[in-house]
Amino acid sequence: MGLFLNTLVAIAYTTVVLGSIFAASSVSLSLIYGTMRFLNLAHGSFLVIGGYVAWVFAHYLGLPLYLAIVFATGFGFALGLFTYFIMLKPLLGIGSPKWDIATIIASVGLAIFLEAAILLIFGPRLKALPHAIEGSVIIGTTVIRYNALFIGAVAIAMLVITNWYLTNSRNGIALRAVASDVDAAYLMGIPSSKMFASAIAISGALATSAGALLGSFYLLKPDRGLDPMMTAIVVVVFGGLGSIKGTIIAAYIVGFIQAFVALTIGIKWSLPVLFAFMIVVLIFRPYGLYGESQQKRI
Amino acid sequence: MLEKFDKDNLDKHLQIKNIKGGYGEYSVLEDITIDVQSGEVVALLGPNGHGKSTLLKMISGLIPISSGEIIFNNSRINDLNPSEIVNLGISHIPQGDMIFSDMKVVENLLAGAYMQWSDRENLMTDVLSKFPNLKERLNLPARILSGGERRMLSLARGLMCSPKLLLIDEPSLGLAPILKETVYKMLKEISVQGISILIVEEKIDYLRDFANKIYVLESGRIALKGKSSEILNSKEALLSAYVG
Repeated sequence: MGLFLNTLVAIAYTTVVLGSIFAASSVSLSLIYGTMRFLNLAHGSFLVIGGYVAWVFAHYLGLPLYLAIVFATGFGFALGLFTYFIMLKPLLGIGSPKWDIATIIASVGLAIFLEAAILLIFGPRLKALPHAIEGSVIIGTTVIRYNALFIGAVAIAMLVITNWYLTNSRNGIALRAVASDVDAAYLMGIPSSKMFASAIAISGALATSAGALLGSFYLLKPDRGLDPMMTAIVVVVFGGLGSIKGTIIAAYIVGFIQAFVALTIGIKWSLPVLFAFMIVVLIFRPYGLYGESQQKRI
Repeated sequence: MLEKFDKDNLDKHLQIKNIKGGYGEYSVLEDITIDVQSGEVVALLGPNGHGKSTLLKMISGLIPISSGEIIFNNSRINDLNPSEIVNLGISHIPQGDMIFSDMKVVENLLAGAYMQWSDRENLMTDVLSKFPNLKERLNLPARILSGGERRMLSLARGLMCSPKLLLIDEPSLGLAPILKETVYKMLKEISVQGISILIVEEKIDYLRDFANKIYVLESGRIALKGKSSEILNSKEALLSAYVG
């Protein structure tokens, strides 16, 4: 295989794996932004917690990675509900006219608290999650690890399940109705507070499971949530704030850009190039790929 | 809490008794009393900004009333939330469609059946038999529908909760005359099936052979009420209520 083909295989492999994880992580962020206009800046901490919860189950109970991910998902669901009832519901109750800024500040506070808690409980040392499947295959000069393929497949399965839930179930359709027009949904008898709680619980579950997948790809560290959160924000903005379809498409484009930059220019340029790309996108398409002009809804 | 609740009671009677209320400290409605009998079509007529839409929002629980009471099927409903009110069989079709633009037509209809989910397939079949045009567009995004189709979707979605009483806010607003006729033809078909209707309109054109009773609202008070034939034939009374 020539150099060009080898690079192409490496980029395609990295795009599929990274794009799938980015999609799962970003859909989590997009779902709650679309439903309740809440930009969760504790998203990075949710990702990291997912990795650590999976590590606890894998390390102390000896569970295989896929079962550890299931427990991380459940933990994220509960963490989402906790965030709603402790932080967001009181803010909704106040009826603050500055909802956007109030929730951003609150989520930054939550992120600081969670990161400190992780550091206190697990310490600063790096931790590694076990691989689900060992072994690899070499195509040209690219080493394709089965574990990475497993991670990509799990991320895609999560997206398929989430998409099915949102388009076929009673709760999922109601959740999207609230995201589309909260007042009209209210007239259908759809309780917005229940939908807000559902949205953040599902978002938490997606974030922690994506975090567990990332943890199996990289090493775990308490402050390692920032970069993937920034990437998720780029994906969500690029896809169109609140658009699930746009988010998934954008995740794979961002995955491709990251893979391309990392394999051609160097990995340290990944985020700078990504943000430059986002600025260009916002100039020419201010609402992203599938976004619409945003209106205040809470 | 409901004092008396019989969902299958065929007496679909709405009584609005001396209600007052508005937005915060700003009072919009004063001492409004309205009756809607079972199977009846009652119209609220009046100039823009005089409280017609606010009254519908109060009935569907979106805006609290400050005094008076709203009774439906012999049960007091003004302390209930919108979900409970929809569950009793009151469906509010708002002004300006308010369809879920980024969802498919079929998903809009399913969202309307949120309170009747177990019966959604029968409701869908029934509603699509009334709106055959929507049947061909079920899997299209609602945002690409024409103005008339959006209005039909809004009506169809309102029927997906199996209502006993429809609250309809200006169904002809912004539509071309031919589409207005189609909308009113559809509403007549709905009314024939025994669903009571409380409809808000600014124009009287289509109410003549549709509404049984008319209430004219002016500055948040009932300025005129009576059978539609009496009200619509009394131009002087109507003018005085509109112009003051």
